[in-house]
Amino acid sequence: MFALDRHASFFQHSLRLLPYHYTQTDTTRLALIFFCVSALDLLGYLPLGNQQCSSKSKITKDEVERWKEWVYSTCLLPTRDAFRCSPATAVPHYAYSLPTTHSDKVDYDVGHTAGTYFALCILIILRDDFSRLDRVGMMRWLRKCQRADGSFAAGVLRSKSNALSDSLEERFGERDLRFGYCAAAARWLIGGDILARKNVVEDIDVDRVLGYITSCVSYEGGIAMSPYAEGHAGGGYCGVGTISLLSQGKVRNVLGDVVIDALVRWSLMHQVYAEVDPESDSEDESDSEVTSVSSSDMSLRGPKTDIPAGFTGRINKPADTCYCFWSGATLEMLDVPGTCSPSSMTGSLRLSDIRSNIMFLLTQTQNTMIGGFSKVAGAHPDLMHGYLGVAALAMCADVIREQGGPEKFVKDEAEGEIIASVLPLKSVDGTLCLSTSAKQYAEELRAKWEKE
Amino acid sequence: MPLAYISDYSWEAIVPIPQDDGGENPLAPIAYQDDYKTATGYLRAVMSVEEVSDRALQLTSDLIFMNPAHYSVWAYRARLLFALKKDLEQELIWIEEVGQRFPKNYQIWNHREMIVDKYDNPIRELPFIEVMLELDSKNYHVWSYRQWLVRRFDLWITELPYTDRMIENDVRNNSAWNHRFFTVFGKGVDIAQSEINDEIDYAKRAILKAPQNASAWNYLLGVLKRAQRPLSEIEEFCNDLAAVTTTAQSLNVDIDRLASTRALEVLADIYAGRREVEKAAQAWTLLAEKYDPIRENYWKFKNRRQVSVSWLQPK
Repeated sequence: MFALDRHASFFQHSLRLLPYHYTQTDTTRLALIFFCVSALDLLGYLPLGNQQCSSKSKITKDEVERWKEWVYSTCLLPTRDAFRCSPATAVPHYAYSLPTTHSDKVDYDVGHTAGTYFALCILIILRDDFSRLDRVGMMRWLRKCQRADGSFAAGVLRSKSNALSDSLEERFGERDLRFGYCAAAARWLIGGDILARKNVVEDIDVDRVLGYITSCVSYEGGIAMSPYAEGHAGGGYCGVGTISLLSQGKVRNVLGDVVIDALVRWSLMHQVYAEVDPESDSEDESDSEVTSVSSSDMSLRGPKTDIPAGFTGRINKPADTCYCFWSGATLEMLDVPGTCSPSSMTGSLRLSDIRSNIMFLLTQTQNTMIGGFSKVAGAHPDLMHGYLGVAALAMCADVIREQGGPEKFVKDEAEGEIIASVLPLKSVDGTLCLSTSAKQYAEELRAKWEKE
Repeated sequence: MPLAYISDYSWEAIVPIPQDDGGENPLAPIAYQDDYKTATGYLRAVMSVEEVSDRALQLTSDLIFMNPAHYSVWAYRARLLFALKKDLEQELIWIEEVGQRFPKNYQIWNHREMIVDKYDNPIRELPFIEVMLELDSKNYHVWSYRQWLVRRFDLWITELPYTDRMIENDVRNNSAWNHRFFTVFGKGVDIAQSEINDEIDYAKRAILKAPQNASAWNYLLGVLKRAQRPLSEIEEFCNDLAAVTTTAQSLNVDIDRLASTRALEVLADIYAGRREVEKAAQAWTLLAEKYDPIRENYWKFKNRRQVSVSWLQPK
């Protein structure tokens, strides 16, 4: 069964205090907060406007207002054009009076594309209107983060004397598809495309972004994190998500039928049975590694439909909670003509085995004692896998609702109850990784900016 | 709690800056250990004036060992190294320690790339990569870094035998297969047909060893596509592995002898491409109902639409 209230308390506790082993995620604290807030949203625990909120939730509207204030006061840069990823990376300037000779020094208190994406998402969930942001400045900053090859950096170092000085400009961070996704989502959330269309500010180089992603399409028919790297479901999500956000959902127009069909196949092939390593024959080994074999390996040995199948990120690797979201959401963004009505929001996700995916998450990686989900069976639950487990299940619930209910998906009545236990989850938007209601609120803001 | 570096360096003239966690009700505060709290306090202090000193460099090292994902520390450290004109080889040795301690970390590879680029000598790189791949033969960062290295220092010559060895160790190592594809096609030069033939044979041999191994199949089909060779070239090969015999209208699958479902899938695509509708339908139905029930919906969808995966079908 889906332990909805357990999960809600897991995320609420985490917002109050995290154990020290989260230190290694200290500088991405906004991500941790996003996982908690967005999970509570999907679980129906946030009191937002007129929305229905679980009677068990003790979160008050005042509390939610304080969260919003906290994000602004600790993570928005004084320039109001970007967010840090964490209060931990703030470097106040008051401790030393700055000699004028220091004006060429670097300001390490920098904005971060991922921090900006997570902050905007949290604020959208909490129904903020972004009136405190410099949206035009944020677009200028995003442009600075873009590299010549089209990819995005994590951020730009600036001099203390002159914000965004070209002479000292130095991009930092890894070169892969993640920051491009964050930048595309941020641009969409602040209506940057609208500002650019109205000639208020120059746009990012959209063609170059698309070109970079196309160069990451791998020989397997997947998408890699960088050109010629290995196809990776996380790369698939970031790549397809970026294109979707930059093309208003018209992924097929950008990638073309051939690449889309291959991507659908590749993503579906990542659904694999969870299984205890067949090569380890010592059965009493309690920590025997859980691994997966390809579905066909299994079925060649006889049908084993009682074993659930989640998604893996790469070929010949075991299924893992987070890829149930990354692969699932990629499939959701890829429409396949003939499979569904044009108004469908779940795209080709319905071509996967929804029942088996739900059973994988509920029976293998869900923690029903303290809540949350772990990466693989037997591991400790953590916030990232906790949130992505919830979001993956919410996406499955969307497919079930769209197909008219759980009856089609189950073998017997007992299973029907288990599958139905995920239905109280709110609808989720895979592209932004937010509840559909949060996305609709963002669309209302965009409609308002459009008229301005 | 005293920190190791506090005894090495004097910190008397500098006032640590505590973290501003936003008042009484911070969101998701982390129960930091004292060492980390102290070190980040000094870090904010030196960063705020961009102090260029040995003690600052040592501080970045201490912090990276506590939190290797600290992005601004890495940026600060890089600038310190160059400003202090530090021995870059020492830095490489230091990174090797960090890498083995935190194999999943993103930042070290970016940092190492920058250092090695300046150092302009790859001598330490392949042995270090070897150590890292022994820890995890599918480490994504390490394989990506290896690609950068091969391009930067023109090290193509050793790569094909290297992937031979890695694939021999584990024929299902998809990272090694991907590196092989990079090695053959990533140079951006024309490739002789004989070389293509070698690669096709190589993949076929690997498939015969493990007929259900998706890595080898993806490689085989990827090479065919890149070389613009027709899928029908491997029809016989697939017939054997799927234990298929055909007449003009239908196909027969010897269920006891079928060794590879991928072979059956490729055959379905070949039939669909030739408009042999009945045969393609038979193959897809077998996949949906017997061999690959997870993707039942997908195979049925393909059957309804009668489409071959055009990705695999060169024009």
